[in-house]
Amino acid sequence: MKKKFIIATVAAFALTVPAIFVGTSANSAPSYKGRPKSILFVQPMKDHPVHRLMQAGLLAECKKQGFYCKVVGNASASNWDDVGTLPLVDAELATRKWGGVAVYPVSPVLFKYAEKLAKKGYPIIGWHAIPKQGTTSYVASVAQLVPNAGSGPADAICTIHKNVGTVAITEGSLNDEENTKAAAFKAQLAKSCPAMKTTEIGIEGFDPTKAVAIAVGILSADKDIVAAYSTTGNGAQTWSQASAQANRKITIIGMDYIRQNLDLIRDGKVYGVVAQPLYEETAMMVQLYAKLFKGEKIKYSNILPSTIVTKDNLAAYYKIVDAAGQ
Amino acid sequence: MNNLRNKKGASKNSEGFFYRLLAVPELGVIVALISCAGIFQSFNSVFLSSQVMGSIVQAVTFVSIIAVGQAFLLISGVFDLSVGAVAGLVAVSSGKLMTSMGWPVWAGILGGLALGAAIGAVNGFMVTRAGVPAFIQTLGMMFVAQGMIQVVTKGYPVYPLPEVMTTIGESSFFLTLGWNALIWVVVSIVGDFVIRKTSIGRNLYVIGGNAEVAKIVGINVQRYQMNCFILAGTLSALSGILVMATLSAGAPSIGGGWELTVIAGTVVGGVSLFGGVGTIAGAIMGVLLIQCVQSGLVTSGLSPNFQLIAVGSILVLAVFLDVFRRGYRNRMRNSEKVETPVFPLEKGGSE
Repeated sequence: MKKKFIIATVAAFALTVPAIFVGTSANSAPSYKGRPKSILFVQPMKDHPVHRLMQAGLLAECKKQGFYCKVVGNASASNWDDVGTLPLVDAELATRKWGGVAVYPVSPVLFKYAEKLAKKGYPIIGWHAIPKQGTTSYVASVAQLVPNAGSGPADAICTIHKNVGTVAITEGSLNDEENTKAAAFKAQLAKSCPAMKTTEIGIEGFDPTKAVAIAVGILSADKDIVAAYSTTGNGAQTWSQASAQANRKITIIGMDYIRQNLDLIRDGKVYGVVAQPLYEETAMMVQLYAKLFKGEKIKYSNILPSTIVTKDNLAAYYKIVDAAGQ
Repeated sequence: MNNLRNKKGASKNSEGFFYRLLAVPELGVIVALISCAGIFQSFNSVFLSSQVMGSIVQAVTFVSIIAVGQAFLLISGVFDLSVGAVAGLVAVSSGKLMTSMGWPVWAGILGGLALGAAIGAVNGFMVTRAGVPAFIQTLGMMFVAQGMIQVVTKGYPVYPLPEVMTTIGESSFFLTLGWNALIWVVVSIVGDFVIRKTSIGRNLYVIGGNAEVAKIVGINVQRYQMNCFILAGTLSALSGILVMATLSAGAPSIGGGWELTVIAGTVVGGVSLFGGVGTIAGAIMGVLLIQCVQSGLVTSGLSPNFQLIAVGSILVLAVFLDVFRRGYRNRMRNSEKVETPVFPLEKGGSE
């Protein structure tokens, strides 16, 4: 009996120790050196003009780095369908051995999915938002500091209107990114211009005709509105039309330097738009993948600056949209 | 002697004002519209201002034009889910014709209208001749059109457009309302006249009420329904072109989700999903009601989180009012017992 006990104990020890070492090596940071030079870019609502600008940056840098890159997402310019995108990604993943999968880090559905892909060994890099390190499976992300897209416009409006009036705030839809921008705007405005008020956050939606009616309603309901801040790419167009329909001259700051928005600034219908580094984020993301696949170390958090495009600095952004084929 | 009287012995003319009022098919939506306007005005006196009213009309014109076509279809017993996608496809295609293809503006517009009519013809043929259920055919066409939008635009808006289109879109004759509103009024009046006052309209009601009976009495059901599909496609195209002019861009998002708004609006306005019932005026007022509710909730300062809930609830209430009106009227009609008239006997006949 005693002999059997000793043999069993030794056997158990012999099996356990190697397992500990295997487990340990599995828990250490994986190496992505030598992976195929290909990136699958996962982005719902892939045909939205702002998303197309992001994809332009990706595809240009992929071409430069010699990567094979493909965009996958539900084919719509106005309907966000992250759940509907996942089966499309699964189908693409089955077509070839992908080096990396870039997943748009803006919804819990996508975070969950990225976790699943990371467990399969794909390096996941994000852009446009930086999830808190350790809370997701991303190895890196590239973005502006999202709150800056709110605080910068708040300071600009404060300077123009000298602490007088009310500012209307609208979002395209309620999501983490836009909520963060709107919250940062309100907080900064309260700090820089405490006498200025803000309206209840309005939701424009993505139907341009309805969005204008909503903006006119907001303007009409409050005579003290002197400015409008929109967190969505079409916001500049929405508010410029609304201010014309309501016959109210207001300072408008929107989001994203798509060509239509640049033209509105040029024509004086809009004060400015926040130049989120849409093109640069995805380009930098490809560069990070290139380093990863060479075995180099990369930083988790990669911040890019965002500025407000006004009449004074339009030319540079026209060059970018020209390069993007917009 | 003929003497038609109700059971109380009063004359048949006792129907009176109230009964005639209940016979108005748009009564439910009119009551809902007036009530909403009154309530929102009481919350914020700007609701009935020219700016808010103007923006409501501006937003409603595009969807209403499509609602006229959809009402024709619904009255005839079918419907079309592809109207929004067709509007979007025509907008971007027409824009491409005028820009990349270098066509004159008038040719681009006509080309767009022709595309809408052609899509309507395809839908009509597949439903009336090939026997594909309207739901499936038009749902499939919706997906096809949405895909075609992405193929044509590659995700980018068609922009800039020729100056003429911007001029049309920015025109303003009365309270910021321009060509869009004028075209909407003309389409609505003509549509309502045709459905109410012409044999075409009467035949559509018969077809929608009972297609078999319509065939028996010699109405060419297939031809009528086919023409309704073509009309719906053409009006969707017209709407898409007008939106494109207003936005000064052929945006890929034009028409997204409109099919539900159009159907919801027409049903709220008293047009039956089962055919044979409804009017164009009712359909337009239904669309107007939905937009009034949305704009009214904004001017009232209600949190956007509750706006969708409020819109849904008010829509159900509006339809309930219409159902209640019909039921009450039927009960009133049934409660009047009319004596069987006694006709004089012919010579040589017997009782």
